[in-house]
Amino acid sequence: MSQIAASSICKSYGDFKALHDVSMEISKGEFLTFLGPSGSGKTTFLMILAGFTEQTSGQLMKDGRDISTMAAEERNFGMVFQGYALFPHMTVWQNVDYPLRVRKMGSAERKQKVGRIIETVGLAEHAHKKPSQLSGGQQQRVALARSLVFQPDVLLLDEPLSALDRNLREQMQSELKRVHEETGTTFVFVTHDQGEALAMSDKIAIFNKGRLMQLATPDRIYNAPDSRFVAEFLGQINIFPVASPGMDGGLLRGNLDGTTLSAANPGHHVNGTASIAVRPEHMTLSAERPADQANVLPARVIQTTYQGSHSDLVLQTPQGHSISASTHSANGALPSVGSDLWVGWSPENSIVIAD
Amino acid sequence: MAARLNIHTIAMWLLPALFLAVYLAPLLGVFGWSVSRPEPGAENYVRMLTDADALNIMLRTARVCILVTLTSVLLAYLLAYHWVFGSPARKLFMELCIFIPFWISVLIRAFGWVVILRNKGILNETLLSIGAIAEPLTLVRTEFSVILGMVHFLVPFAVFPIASVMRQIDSRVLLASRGMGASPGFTFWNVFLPLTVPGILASVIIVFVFALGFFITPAILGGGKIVMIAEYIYIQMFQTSNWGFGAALSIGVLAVVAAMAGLLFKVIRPERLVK
Repeated sequence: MSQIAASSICKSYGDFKALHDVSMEISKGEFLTFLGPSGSGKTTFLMILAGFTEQTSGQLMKDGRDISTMAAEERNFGMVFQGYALFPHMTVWQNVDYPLRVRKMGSAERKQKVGRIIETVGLAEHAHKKPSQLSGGQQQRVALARSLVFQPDVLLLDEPLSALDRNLREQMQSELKRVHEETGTTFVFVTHDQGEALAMSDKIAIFNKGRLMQLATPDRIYNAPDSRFVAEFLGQINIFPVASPGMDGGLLRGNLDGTTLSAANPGHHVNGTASIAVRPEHMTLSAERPADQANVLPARVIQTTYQGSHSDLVLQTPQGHSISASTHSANGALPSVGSDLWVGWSPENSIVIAD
Repeated sequence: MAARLNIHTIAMWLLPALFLAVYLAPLLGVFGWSVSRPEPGAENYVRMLTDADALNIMLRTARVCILVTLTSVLLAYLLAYHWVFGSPARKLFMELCIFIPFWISVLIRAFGWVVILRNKGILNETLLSIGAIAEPLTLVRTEFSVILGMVHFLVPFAVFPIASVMRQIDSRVLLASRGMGASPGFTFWNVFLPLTVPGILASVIIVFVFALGFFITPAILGGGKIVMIAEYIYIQMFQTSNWGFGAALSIGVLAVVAAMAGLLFKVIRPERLVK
């Protein structure tokens, strides 16, 4: 059974609808990431889960119990805020001890719990410092310890890594994952960084304009996006609008400038218009027209960018469609700019997007 | 080049020179009187610390100032809270309450209180007419009326440092406290109040220092009966011509004010309050 179930959550501010009818289920122990551009409603939804914002309509359940109108104080959710929101007048120890004092826990128990969690996040030698004496990464750990020490049912994290520099962010990502595994707490993580979402999550929920676009594993989100928005939001993708799409022997076929493109596993019903999309890394480049590829387009190299382990290429078909492709450096020398090639990919790597 | 340098040098020294001429020189003069009139020696200071009248007045001044400070800061805290966190309508109302008193002369405000509080004043007449009291209450020329008048004048000054500190509190810190299960009361005592302590201390010092030098309000609402240190100094200087003793008392008050101002700058760092 799901731990949290939200059904038809709406939030309006006057005429502005911040959330349209969002429903989702969150399983116990899951690492779920809310991903979306700013203003997509992901933070609003997190604040509704936390109880800091009240939904206009819709229902929220926790372990089968209706918590739609329960105050934030009573939900027993931990929260790590953007900017951490540490108490500046308290030491690290006092900050972490705070939720236990709120719960009127005995001092021996408090001491043991605070000591253990401070150890877990690696701050034992900083316990008596004030937050202002700590680096961003250390403050982040204090916030994490403070929101985990009382063993909350769910930990909500609002863009906790956005203020850190790149190296520290990667380090904190693996640390968060480790803490998630050690504690087994449900993590709900908000970010606008797609790399972060792909690297850390069990599941990703994509938000756009107040709607939940798709909720699935990172692999499904990346390889089987069910809307143009999700396909374009996560990573690079080529999208070819095809004319007169139709099913033919389990493949979806459509016409692009006189060339027939095909895609396996359309996944959903297509009627009217459709697009066939393909990720740059699934593109193969060859000098001669390949005989074994189902989808082949002629293209001229416009630009090449060397990235070390791979290279990014921008190509253009005679009809003016832009194509991005990437090739592993192990595949040999880069084609030169201005050369004409063939770009191909298999129907299995095609993604069907219903427009 | 040399001429320009000269102008700069002159401009740079103008302010210190002015300070020296209109402030430091007279101050040294007053200090001079305190140790030379009527005859050289520390006699005036000895009298200040032994004379029963003077000690009484200093004690009363301290008592009134402490009561005024506590009352003003407490009221200012409530006002500041509503000013900073209230609805837009309430904010506007609070702003009017805080700023309008600044446009009314201290003299008019003191006399206003006399009109309300005197034996045949508005308050007594009302209470008599509804039968709440049989005899008019003695309200004017008491410590109560002096404290009331001073609090009324000083509350707006106490609001600003507190409001400034409240404005700087990160609202997420308060949300975080709620999210961890803390009741509003627990959050107030453990997070909100400690974070506003610098503003409270600044207000305390500003109000106390201000109250110490109050002259008109105690003179009018105390009516010569409730004499505070400033009026006492005035009497020494202009009525009994004890210039030396008056000067010694002035230096005493100055020392207290200087000590408190020093505390303000050292402990609270006032530049933080105007951020």
